[in-house]
Amino acid sequence: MPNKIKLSIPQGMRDWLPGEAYRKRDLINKLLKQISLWGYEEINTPMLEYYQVLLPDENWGGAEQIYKLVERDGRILALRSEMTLPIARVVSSKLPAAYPWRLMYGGEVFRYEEIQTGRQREFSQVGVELIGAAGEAADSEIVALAIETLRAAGLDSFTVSLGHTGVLRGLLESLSWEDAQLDRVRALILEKDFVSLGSYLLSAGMKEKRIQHLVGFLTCQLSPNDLVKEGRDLPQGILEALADLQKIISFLKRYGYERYVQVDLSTLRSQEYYTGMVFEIYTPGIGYPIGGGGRYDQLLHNWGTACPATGFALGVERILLSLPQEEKAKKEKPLLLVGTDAGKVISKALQLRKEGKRVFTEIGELSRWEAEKLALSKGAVLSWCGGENADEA
Amino acid sequence: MLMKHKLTMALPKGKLFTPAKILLERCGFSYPELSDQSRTLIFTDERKEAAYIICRPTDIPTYVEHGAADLGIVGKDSIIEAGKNLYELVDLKFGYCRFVVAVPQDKLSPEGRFLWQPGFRIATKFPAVAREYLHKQGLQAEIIKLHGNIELAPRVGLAEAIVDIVSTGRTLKENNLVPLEYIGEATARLIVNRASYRLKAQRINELVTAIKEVLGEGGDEDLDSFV
Repeated sequence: MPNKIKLSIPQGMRDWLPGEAYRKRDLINKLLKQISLWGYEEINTPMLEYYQVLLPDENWGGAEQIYKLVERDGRILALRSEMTLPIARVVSSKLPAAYPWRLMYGGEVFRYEEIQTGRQREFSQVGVELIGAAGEAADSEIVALAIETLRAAGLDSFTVSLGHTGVLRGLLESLSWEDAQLDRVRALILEKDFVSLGSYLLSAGMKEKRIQHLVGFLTCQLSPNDLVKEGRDLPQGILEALADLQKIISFLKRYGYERYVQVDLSTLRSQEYYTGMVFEIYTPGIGYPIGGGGRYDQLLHNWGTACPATGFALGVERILLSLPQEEKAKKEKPLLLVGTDAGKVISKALQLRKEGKRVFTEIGELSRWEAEKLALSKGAVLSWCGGENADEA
Repeated sequence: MLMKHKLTMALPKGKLFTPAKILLERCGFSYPELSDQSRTLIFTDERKEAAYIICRPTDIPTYVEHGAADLGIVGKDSIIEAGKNLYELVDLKFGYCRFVVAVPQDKLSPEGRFLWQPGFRIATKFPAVAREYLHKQGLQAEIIKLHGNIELAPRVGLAEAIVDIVSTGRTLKENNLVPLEYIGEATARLIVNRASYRLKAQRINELVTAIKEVLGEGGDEDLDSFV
């Protein structure tokens, strides 16, 4: 009796069995193929990084989500928890300054967090980084590419929820409060606890009418056509953020993709490196975003390169869950060649494979009935060549 | 997909159920068959394109976080402990209660003070709340998680103090416990799944507006009489 540990895998890991493993690989390929049509080139980085690469600023959150281990020389390593930071490291240290760089990736990342729908602690991301490009043309390219990539994968019913980190920043700057109070406001907005936010602002001396206006502004859907007007009485920082979003939306209209986009200023990403527009993508039936991204103009500073950048990542497993399960039918069945004459079976298999057919063989004394049973259990078409009642396939 | 428009709401069994049901009725979501006593745990109102899931209060944040329900009505106490990624949109005002640290009456000094000693244990349903209290006070104690009848723990020597929610304080008195400190308040809240909040924005905003109107009419104290 094998013991339990030998058969189990760690919490949050999963095995991908035949069929589902194919579906995942096929989806990743489809997504990357679509992205490459926009001139993006694939990049790969190692699974293991130095811990400081994944947490360049000790004040950032998320340290507890990183899987760590100790290198033999005593330094701390970590399994990559995302791809943007490693890619920023590569661009800063190994690529010539021939900006802009359009890079794409598909790979596994690890986060020690609660297991969610379509997200184990190891999960796959396909994403892009557009590095060295500022402005609304680059931001709208990223949003449009995310939309087009999902469409190419067969998803049509989804919504891109657009926000801007400048809104939170502008709000905090406009309050001439102490740091501890600002931290509290920031934390409540990130937690999306708008009830406590309201009562906290009230206790800090803000007028009730202003609070209603502010909380309403943060929680309501805004008309994408008249953003600046809607924010009229708000601090300068927020107005600038809205103007930025307005420009991005007018670009998205030229792509013809504005119908996928809604403006929702409560959209915030947990990564602290975002500096401009941010977005999350939602689809019916899945309670979590299936992808997201945004602008991160300060991140490359950490490695000594001053360079604006923007990008997105899609959650492969979540997209798999939201796609209709029709893939199996599309895949052509393999052939099973059965026979007693090894030479005959092998040469026939080689010939069929040259024609591009998927073929596997079984050489030996199988009865016709046993061969049929085997073919059925493998979902294959039987080709009988040999045995007593030999007939050609 | 049908689900596109249907609004699924998770409602808590127990004392918050009736006020939640009445609040929804006043917002136009009237469904008389709805009950937390029946064997049915899911009710579907085709006419209003709404479904109701009846479940334990502590599970509601989970249903809503995963999107099994678009929104939920639940006490803030359950939300704090769950630590989920949710939108907390409206304070429904009913079901008011307070978090309290309580100790046995006979453990107080003659001046009415309680002396924390190393190695003390706190029994609670709310470990996150208890931990934050200890942290703020700079105290050290072992936290013992229980699922109910917390007031029992000091009587049988399982813990020296408790952290619990109280509305009237009667249970404390009956068990010879005295409140040491109130460390927070809780009322019922409307919580929303972050995807539903985007995908069903219009229906959710309509409901939020209706709830705010009902509560604005001073319906809050009124609803509390159903708790």
